[in-house]
Amino acid sequence: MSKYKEFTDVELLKSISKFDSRALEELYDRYSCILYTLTKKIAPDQETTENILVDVFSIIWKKAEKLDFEKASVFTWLISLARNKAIDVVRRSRSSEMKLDPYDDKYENYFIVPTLSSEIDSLDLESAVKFTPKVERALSKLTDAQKYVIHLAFYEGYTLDEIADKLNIPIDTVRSKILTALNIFKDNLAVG
Amino acid sequence: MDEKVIHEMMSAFAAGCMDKENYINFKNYIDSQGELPYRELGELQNLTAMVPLILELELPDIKLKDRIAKKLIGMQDEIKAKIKERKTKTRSTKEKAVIPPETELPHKAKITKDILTETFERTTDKKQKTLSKEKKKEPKRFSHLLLWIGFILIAVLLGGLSYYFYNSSKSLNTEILNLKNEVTSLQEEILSNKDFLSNYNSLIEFFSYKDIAVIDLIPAEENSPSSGKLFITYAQLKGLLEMNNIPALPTEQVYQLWIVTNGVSYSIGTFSPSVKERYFEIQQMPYISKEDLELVRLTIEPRDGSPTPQGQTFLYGVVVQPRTRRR
Repeated sequence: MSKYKEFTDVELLKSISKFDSRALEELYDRYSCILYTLTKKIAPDQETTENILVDVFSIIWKKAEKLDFEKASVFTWLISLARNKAIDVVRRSRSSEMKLDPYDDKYENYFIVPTLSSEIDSLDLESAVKFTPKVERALSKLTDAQKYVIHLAFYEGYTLDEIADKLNIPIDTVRSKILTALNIFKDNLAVG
Repeated sequence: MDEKVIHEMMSAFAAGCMDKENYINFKNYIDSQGELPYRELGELQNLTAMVPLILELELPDIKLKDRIAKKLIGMQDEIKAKIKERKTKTRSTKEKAVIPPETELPHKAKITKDILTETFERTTDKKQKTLSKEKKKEPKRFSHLLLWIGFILIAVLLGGLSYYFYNSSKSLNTEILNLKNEVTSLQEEILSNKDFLSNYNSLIEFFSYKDIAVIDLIPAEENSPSSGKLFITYAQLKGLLEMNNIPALPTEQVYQLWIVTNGVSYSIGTFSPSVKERYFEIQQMPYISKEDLELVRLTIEPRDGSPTPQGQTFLYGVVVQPRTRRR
């Protein structure tokens, strides 16, 4: 059995930051399923989904060192990275007529590579997967409006003002709904 | 800042639905370690990251892994540049660390003895570990060296052996070739001896007769290398024609030998000599007296021969009779 199978997610990311391709392969084997599913949910078609995933793993390969290994939540970093990348692609296709920022290294570092809180709890795939039934129950307890707002924000990539515009409600209400939805989700998760 | 606004901002940031301007402001605020409930922000970030867990998981196409691998291979130059950049950064950081603290940070608190010893112990421990690792490496290096020497020796030995075998086989081949040549030359010698015997056998046998006359035949054309001899035994009425350097004739022509007595030509026979044949026996010569023979001619005639010499004379020999006798 490969020694990389024994590695924690953080150890894998550390090895990847030293350009260890076997570590990246192991990370792919662990995370490709969840990242692919998430990307597919956001991207408009199969081809775009696959292109995004290829780009995501290229970013991981190039920029793994940007993760704070001391306070690392690899799961959150990877999910946020894939989500940011996919949303960026969707937003760019959506606002083709508007002036777009050029996609370069600086842009990627600023808008795609996630900025995580310095006091985040560590979370890896194995731990996160254990939470799945709880997450299902916690999300099911949200109202349809709360679910929809989270869906628009998280999967559709709409900004607060765009959601307000789409739902024809004041932006303050949208901000409040997002906050409330996340708080209820957190509370439900804590209750189990 | 209003606490509620902060929480709303954090929620929007975690859910990824901030507009560009607010995102930049908030990110810059975090990067500058502005005051925030970071623990709460972390919780919100972990929370939103768990949202996709409820999706029905799908496996990507197996080829996608290859596509990623290919892309990474294509990024080799970029990665090399990145590694180089990192090394440069590390070096410059180390160089900075070498600068004495007094000159670099005059206003900072002095390092205490405890910190210094602790740092020293940590560094010494590290150094010791590095040294022991190097010591462990030494025998490996030595064995590697031995392995290389052994490898080189084997290579040299094999090279020498190959060279020796190559040379031996080369000399053997030469020897075989020489032997073959020798055999060929011996065979040729045997053949030539056979030819000699077959050629000269007639001559030797002919010389067992008595009373032999020899008439030299010379070419009719000047500078021709051809020549001949006619041996005649008058007692036995037999003859032997020797022909040297006689060119072969077309199939419709033959050489015809004539003897002339008292102005009359008598045909002795027709001959088609090959290169190897030199002697032709003449079993029955016409009766002629020794004194009457005047001339011998070898002419070129049609294949069936001619009753009288009609063709070109190729060789001829004049018989000079002794005057005393003729008288």
